[in-house]
Amino acid sequence: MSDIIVVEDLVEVYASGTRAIDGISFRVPEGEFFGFLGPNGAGKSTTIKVLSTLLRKTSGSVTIGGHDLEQDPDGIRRIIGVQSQETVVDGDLSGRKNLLFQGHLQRMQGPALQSRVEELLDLMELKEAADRKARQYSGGMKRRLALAAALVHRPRLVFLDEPTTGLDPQSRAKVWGYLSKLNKEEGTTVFLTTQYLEEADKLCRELSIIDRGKIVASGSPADLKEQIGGEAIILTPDPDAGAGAREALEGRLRALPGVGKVVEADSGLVVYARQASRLVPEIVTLFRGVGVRLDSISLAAPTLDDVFLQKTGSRIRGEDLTSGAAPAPVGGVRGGVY
Amino acid sequence: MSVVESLRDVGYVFGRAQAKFWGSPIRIFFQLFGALMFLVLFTQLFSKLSDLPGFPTAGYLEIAVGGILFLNTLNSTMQSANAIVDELNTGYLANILVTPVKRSAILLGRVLSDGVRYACQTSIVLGIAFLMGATFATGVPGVLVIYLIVVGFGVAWSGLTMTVGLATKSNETVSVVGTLLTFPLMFTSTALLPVSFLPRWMQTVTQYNPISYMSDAARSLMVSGFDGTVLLQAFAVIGLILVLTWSSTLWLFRSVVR
Ligand SMILES: Nc1ncnc2c1ncn2[C@@H]1O[C@H](COP(=O)(O)OP(=O)(O)OP(=O)(O)O)[C@@H](O)[C@H]1O
Ligand SMILES: [Mg+2]
Repeated sequence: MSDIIVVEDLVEVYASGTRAIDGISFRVPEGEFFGFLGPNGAGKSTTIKVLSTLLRKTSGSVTIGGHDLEQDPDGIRRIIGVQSQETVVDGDLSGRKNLLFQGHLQRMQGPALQSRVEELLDLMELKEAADRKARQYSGGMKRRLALAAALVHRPRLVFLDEPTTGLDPQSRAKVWGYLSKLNKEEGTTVFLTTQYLEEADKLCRELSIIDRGKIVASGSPADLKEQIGGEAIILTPDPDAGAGAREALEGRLRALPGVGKVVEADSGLVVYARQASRLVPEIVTLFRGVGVRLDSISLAAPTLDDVFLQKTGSRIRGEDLTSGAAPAPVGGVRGGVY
Repeated sequence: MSVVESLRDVGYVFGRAQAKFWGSPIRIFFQLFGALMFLVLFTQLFSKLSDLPGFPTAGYLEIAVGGILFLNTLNSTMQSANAIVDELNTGYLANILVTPVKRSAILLGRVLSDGVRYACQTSIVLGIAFLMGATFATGVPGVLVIYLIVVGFGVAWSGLTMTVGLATKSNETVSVVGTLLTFPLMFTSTALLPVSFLPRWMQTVTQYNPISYMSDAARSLMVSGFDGTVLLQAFAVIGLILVLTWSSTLWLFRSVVR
């Protein structure tokens, strides 16, 4: 199948000087469910803004559905749908009118538009509230309305910037179900950004991990977990152990047979190794040898979080949420989301 | 085909702006109330003026109507800018810009809807004035020209508030600049008093104040009759403001939109 997104050496430098995208290249085949995973400020939203013709790129080349971003932005606009990270709906208009207007802008009209709007209202469970002003919607309802608006014209490609942030677990599961269906049954290509590893793992067939404007890893979730090399052994050494002792520990852990990587995380030390369970006795002995108390030890199958940790040196959630690295989004919707 | 598409786009943007306008009856009520308040206050405040020697034979009511029409319009143009600044800042504009909608339609549809808004306000002011006993020397044709002047001036002046809005992306700034301009413009013009009642230095200032040309034209239509020179001057002033403010607005809009 042909590639619906082709990005080469894309760079985006904001007027403020921030290099939000620092030379990324990737391709997304038509029909793919593609995920962009990264911490706050990684450049996910910026990428979507450039690809959806909102921001002028600094350099590099982008082709979407065969349309060049510079030469034919309108050609791109006709085949894409976009749900931005900030929830934007027109609060003065009813949910139904919001969707009708969006459809009009996409050059739809008449019965075709009307039945599509009703279908989406049904699907997003907004039928009962359809004639209420969107201002009165709850955050989750607004989010679903915005998603519906992105889909009115049955775009070939949808960009969804953290579509499930702010939804309760049931609604999230429903949106997941709907997005899978959209992708499988209608063949819509989905480009999704997320901070939920579970979401990426569940939905995306291909993933790129982006950090500080660069793609640090790409592949299917399974491939990426495979790259980790085995399972994760999570160790909690005595927190009062000196730096020297810790370093010695890490050195010796690395030297154990089958060990791929040793990473320091907030929770302790994470050792990635093949046949991890066999290493447990050796690790216990090793701690005793160095003279550091071992508070706990546990084994886990690798998750995308581990991939993230290995590639970027930080967990995707946790510190990122409080670091304040991201600018306060306009509209104020984001603030209430976490 | 492309022309049809463009016209449709303008229609949709216009339709949405209108739906928002008529969908908030409170705003319309306040506009009615504001017009009534100004008309009553000004005519009461200055009611004895028309007894003074040298005052035009018409009562103060006819004088005041011209002024209040443009006071309202000046205020209204701030709302025009506020709407677009809001859409810019909330990201709603971005939602529109990822569709193939014609970029020009986004502004044009808005401006048309604002024009309708200015016309509605004019109806409110003229209607109340009529009920209060104002007379219209030029009849229906003259009233239509009043609409044309008010709407033309409103559209031209909204180019200025839009320029401020697009340049600063801040509604506070739009309000501060708009309000700061409104009062001096009103009080150094012939909008509230006939020119002979103003101090000499102010009489000079009024000649450079666009509001003078607007209210003189509206007043002449209400009080005396069609005066070609006065009307021509008014439309020339509107044209001049239109070109100046809308070239900067378009230039700024182009930097926001791609
Ligand atoms: N309008 C802007 N002007 C200047 N810098 C910006 C602007 N928008 C984003 N940035 C910066 O660009 C970088 C990437 O931001 P971006 O919004 O793309 O991140 P993100 O991956 O979407 O993060 P999040 O998960 O928080 O949404 C950040 O350093 C951010 O501060
Ligand atoms: Mg983002």
